[in-house]
Amino acid sequence: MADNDEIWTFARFAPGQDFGTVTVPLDGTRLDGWQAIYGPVAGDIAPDGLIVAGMMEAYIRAIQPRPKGNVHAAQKLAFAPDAVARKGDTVSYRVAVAAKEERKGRNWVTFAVRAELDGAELLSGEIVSIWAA
Amino acid sequence: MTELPQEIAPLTIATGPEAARAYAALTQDWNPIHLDPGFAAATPFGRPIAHGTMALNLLVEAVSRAGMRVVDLDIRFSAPTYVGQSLSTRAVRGEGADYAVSVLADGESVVLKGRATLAARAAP
Repeated sequence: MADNDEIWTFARFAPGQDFGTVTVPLDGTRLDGWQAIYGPVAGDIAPDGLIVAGMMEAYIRAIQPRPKGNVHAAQKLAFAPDAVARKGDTVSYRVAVAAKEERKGRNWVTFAVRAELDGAELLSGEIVSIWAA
Repeated sequence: MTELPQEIAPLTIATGPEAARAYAALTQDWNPIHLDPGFAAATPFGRPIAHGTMALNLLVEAVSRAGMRVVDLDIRFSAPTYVGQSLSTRAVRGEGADYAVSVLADGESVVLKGRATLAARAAP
């Protein structure tokens, strides 16, 4: 994970750059937040969307400080078919830069995120952002 | 093998400042473009926009409620959702297990669109 006070600008990103691993517990606070938006969750299986929310949290926490006004443009997801996360599990997310491109005056960055639970892949995906600075 | 439905039942939520704050807390994404009308007024959007993955996760939740799971998904956020608009999902089956997916704001503007491969969720 990055550990400095310098804002992460487009110029500082490079394909392959690794921002390390962020752990996100699927705890009661996060579950309450999820339920406040999407409704009650029955049983002990964590909602798939909570794992996606964790992906976003990891992406946000891994790359700090960041400029204000970044725009989330696109996303890819792939869940491991049989993987299951339960309420209370802690998911590890690895965040890296997959690609960057300047296009039509905008700074496009693709971040790759892989989520693991107990060493097994749970989710992988990409976040495409238009970086603000 | 479980027969896949032709359409996933739509799911709708209301966005609003309270939901935007809840989603910011859930994801730790405190980007003021979602939360601060003053900041958002100075952007091309003009007013706060909802987090993109609020719509994406509504789609993921709609799929889950249908007893299914996203195998893979590729979407883009095609237009902003302004805080205060409603979000509604659509997922219509095409070839095999591929679905055309979208999320509409206020039932009109497409704010998310793309494709997904879905599968029946395995019993835990």
